[in-house]
Amino acid sequence: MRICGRLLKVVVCILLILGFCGCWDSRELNKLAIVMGMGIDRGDDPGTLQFTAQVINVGEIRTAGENGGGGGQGKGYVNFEDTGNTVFSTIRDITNQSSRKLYFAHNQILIFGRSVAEEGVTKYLDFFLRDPETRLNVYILVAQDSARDVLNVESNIENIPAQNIKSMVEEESAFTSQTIAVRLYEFKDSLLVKTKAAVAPIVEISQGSDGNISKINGTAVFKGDKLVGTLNKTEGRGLLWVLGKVKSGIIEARTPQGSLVSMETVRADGKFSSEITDDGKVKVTISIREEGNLGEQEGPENLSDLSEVAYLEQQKNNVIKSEVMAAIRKAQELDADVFGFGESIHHKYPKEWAAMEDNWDELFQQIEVEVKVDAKLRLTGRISVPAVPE
Amino acid sequence: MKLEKGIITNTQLMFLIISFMEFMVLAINFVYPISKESTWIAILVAYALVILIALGYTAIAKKYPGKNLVEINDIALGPFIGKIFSALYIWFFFEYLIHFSYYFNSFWITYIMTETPRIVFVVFLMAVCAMAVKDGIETIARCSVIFAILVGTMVISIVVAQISKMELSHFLPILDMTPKVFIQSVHIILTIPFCDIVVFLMILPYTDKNTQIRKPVLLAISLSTALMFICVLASTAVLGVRMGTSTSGTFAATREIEIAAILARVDVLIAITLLITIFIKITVFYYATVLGLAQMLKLRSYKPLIVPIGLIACAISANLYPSDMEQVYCAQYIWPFNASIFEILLPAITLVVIALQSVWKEKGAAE
Amino acid sequence: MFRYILKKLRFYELLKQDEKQQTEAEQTSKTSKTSQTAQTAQTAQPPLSKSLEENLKALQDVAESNDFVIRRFVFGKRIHAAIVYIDGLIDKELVNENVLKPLMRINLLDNSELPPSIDIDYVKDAMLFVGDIEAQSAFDEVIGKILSGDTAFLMDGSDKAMLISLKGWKMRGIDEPQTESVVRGPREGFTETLRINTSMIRRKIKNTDLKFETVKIGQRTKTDVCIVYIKGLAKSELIEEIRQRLGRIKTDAILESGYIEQYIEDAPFSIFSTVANSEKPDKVAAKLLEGRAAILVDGSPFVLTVPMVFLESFQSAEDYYSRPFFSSEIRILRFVAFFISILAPALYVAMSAFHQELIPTPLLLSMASAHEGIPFPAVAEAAIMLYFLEILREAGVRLPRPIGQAVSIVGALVIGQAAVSAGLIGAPMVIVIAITAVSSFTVPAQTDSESIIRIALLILAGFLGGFGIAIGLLVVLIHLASLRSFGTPYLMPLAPFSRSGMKDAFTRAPLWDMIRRPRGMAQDDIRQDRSSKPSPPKDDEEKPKGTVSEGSL
Repeated sequence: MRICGRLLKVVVCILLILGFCGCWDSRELNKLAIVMGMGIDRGDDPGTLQFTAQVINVGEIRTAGENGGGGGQGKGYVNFEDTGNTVFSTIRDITNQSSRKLYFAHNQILIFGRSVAEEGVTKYLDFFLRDPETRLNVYILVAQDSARDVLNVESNIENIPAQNIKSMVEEESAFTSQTIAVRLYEFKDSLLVKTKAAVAPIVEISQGSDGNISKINGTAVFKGDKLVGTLNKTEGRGLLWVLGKVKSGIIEARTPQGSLVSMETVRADGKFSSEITDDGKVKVTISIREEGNLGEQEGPENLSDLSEVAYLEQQKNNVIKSEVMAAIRKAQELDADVFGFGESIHHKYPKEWAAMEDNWDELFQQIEVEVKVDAKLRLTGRISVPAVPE
Repeated sequence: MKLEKGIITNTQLMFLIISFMEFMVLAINFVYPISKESTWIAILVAYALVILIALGYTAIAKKYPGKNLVEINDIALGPFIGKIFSALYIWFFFEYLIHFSYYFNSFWITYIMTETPRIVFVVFLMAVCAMAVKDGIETIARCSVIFAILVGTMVISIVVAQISKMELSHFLPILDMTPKVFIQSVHIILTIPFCDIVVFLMILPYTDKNTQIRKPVLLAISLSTALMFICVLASTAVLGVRMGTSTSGTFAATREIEIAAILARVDVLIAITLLITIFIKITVFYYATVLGLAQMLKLRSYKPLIVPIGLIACAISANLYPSDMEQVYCAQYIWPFNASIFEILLPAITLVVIALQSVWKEKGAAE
Repeated sequence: MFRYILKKLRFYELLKQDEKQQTEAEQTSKTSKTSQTAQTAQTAQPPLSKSLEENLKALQDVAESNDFVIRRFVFGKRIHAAIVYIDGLIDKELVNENVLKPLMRINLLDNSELPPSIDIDYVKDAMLFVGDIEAQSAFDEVIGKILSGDTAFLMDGSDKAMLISLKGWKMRGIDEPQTESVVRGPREGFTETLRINTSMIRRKIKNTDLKFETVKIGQRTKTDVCIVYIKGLAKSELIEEIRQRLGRIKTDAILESGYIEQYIEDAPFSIFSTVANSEKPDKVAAKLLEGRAAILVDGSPFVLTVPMVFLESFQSAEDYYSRPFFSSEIRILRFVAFFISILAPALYVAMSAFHQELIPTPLLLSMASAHEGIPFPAVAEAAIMLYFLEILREAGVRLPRPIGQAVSIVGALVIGQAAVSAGLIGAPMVIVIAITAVSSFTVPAQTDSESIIRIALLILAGFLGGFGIAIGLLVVLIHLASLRSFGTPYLMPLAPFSRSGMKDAFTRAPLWDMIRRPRGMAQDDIRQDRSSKPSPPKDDEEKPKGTVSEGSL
């Protein structure tokens, strides 16, 4: 009886505790609006912003298990839009339209509209850094015009535009490497450093065969937190060569006889080091190593001949060098240190940096750059002699 | 009269100390805003210092084998001053109990479950700790063996998973701060993670080889410092400049692990690891408080004190600071000095008194 | 105020009265006890009388049922005797052949060939063709032995009875134990008869150090309980402790070894059992050789072994009969299955309701679409399915064989599918519960504790997510760490860490490597020599006999 009494008391206590627990944090799956992409544009009134959230419409999504029954009639996503003064208040406002609370942990991309990017993005970033639900590995993009339109462009392969854009960014940086794929933490890192300029890929809407399609085209350059200019594809790849982030890509060159050859880059590595010369100027040495294979040739020359190989490698060197120089020139024109040369001086010469930091803008214009490229051609594919030889 | 009849082996003691210090392996957040990228250097310096201090603690324990801190104070310093010292120590342990409990709660609430009121976490955690304290030091030591190995494995695997994101350039610039700031960070690291092993002075007498405790204690400190060092190195390498801005550096670094798109967002596992380590920490402090209090009040067993102290601790630690920022401020500027009194000053006084007493005894014996 | 004082006075008065009554009651009980003991001492061992008829009448009065057979006969032409037995407990043919026949046959002899005087000792020494015979003169003992299946031989003129053990009743034959089937290894299982079980253990361990101690427990059932141990290996404190605990049992019925288990276990309120049981003699023999003790109970094929450690539930006999690599893999699998079985529903609920960020995005989308339109929250879904699983399992055991298998399989699949289609539960939940169910049978010794832990973890997960699960696991671990089974810590090779013990914990080291017994259990640690590792002969050594070399083919 004694033991029974004690046990009874314990059980009653447990039941009471469980009773007053309201399981505050429990969110059932069917009460979540899973956000896949977000976009920020400038609102109609000055000082406001327009926020677009792309949420998955779970009932319509075609998943692996369903055999087509009950799926695919409607759109797989829903875009919620709202305007407000700050990001957080706008997001909470969306609960007026949405039956579910937005859930950000699976968000893939964050697009800034051009208008917002030109104004300055810092004030919109703070929410994404502070909230525990949002993740720092979302991709940052800048829209050519308005983020909202980009998020409305459907793709034929993927169900959801945000998923489409994310895959495009990843594929792009893996296979063409003409634009840099930037995640939020990298973006924030660049913003934290005063002298480094942040970059982000640009996504635009263009006319496809049936309807609009979204395309990644070019890199946006920020100075401070404002958009100041763009790098086109060549310049974008030049930037990637320097940063060592080229994973693959095609380099076009001409043979001595003048026909076009496409070479695929398989591996690339880029390093730079800076030093302060005697007369106070900054000299940067960039060394790039690259390996590639012959992908396609127009003409009938036998390119597996060793002299041709050496010539092509030299052509590759020239192409890479020219892309890098183009990038540097454009950066100097925009007065934005996208490469991080300033930071490398900071790391190497911390004492002198304190003096140089403030007039880095002028110093950046007068940088001496030396580019050393070591490109190699390794394989020629399945055939060594072209289909129709000379 | 022994209040605690359990005996733990020296190996178990070592694992207990390791799992005790492993909490700070993952949660050493107060220092990051101060000594951003050079935290690892501060850890090395603090390690050198704590070895000296630990030698002091073990010297006190070896001088009176089989007696825990309260008894040592009574014998060494006389009944009146000894009681005051013991009371101060017990208050200190209790303070640590509630501070750590609060810290853990704010961590969990910030990152994982944002809406649950604090009291829920506090009550559940305290209930589990009370259960462990009731079962005695043997159970705690047995659990700690498993936990130490588990947490060590988790830390190593997290570090390994972060290798792809590490960049050596994030370590530079080194020591980009004034000496005063550096000394402040060393002080914080010394007092909060390292020197709270002073609580083990209550537990050391219950080992089976009372006089050979120096080796397990030093070994344990070295091993957990090594772990902490690796962890801080990894976090610095991943985060670099962002270290100072995040409220929890290790956590922020872990959030970015993405292996094959399946093992992404594994920070909940870190949080659970933290739960395990904080459990050991709170249990040891709880146990020391209860044991010391029972000893001072000359009770026959410490079991009746467990529930009252637990309830008081729950009530206080749920409302300890009005906001989390206050705790960070306190940890950076106020607590190191408060803790130094108990961790460094009081044991130093005890050591000096013991040394003087032995000198007097020798003189008396010589005469 | 006045009334208050009056109340107090009355209270004290009543208190004193109470005390007086108590002391009186104690005294009377003491005296009654002493008188009782005196009485029982008097009536403890009433002897048989010399008259046969009196004895038989006394026996008949006590027994009073028609399977109590008294067979009167005459032998030696003039001596009256009788055998008393219970029909059904004896081997009738043997009794007829070896007791009645030799005695009655001397009726055919001449008087001259008879010995001059025949007393009961002479009958025992020279005339009965039986092996197991003992003399007894106490009435209660005689009745007790008859009830156990002995045959009592009573002779007129003698106050002793001869108890002949010719037991033979119908019992289940030795066949494969149903709860522990193995792929490789002996397939014998214990039966319900104590003697057969002891003989099976004897056959495994042919050693004089193997000791059997039998006691009778249970005031009405008088069940035989036998403690088995190897003297010199098992700690004497352990055997003493077992004897003490068995001696403390004062109940009237022991029907199965489970009763004994519940009376002698260390932690009656814990969900984990601290006493192991087994149906296979090779398993019990192996445990005896490790220094443990076994308790056999007549009437039950389940033999208890003490002390028990947690990791024993994960070890099975055929681990040791197969080679180490596969056995280690299977053992690790068992641990994983154990954790899946307790954690799967709780993890699913915690992840889908609290920590959705842990789920990879495509999986989250399919889980979310499966969860659309389900009326219950995830906790309720999981709890319903869990109880349904338990009901199915229990029903499957009780159903008659031909229907049983079909219903359980069909029931699980069809009902699960129908519930999904009806929109009651989501498809992922069915999978989770199915995995849980299958995993829970991988570790048979822990199925009952598993189901309780599973439900507790599920409820905790439903309220507090990952925190709840961690708290629940912590509580279980602390509880396990604080348990002791007959002096051995329950988490033995892990908790007081012992390196030699870890050789048989999560993986199984090769047999030639396990040179020590589990620490702390036996008196003598070393099991075998270090040098018995098998290895191929080195180049300069002699090749083993019978090697076929290349040239000779």
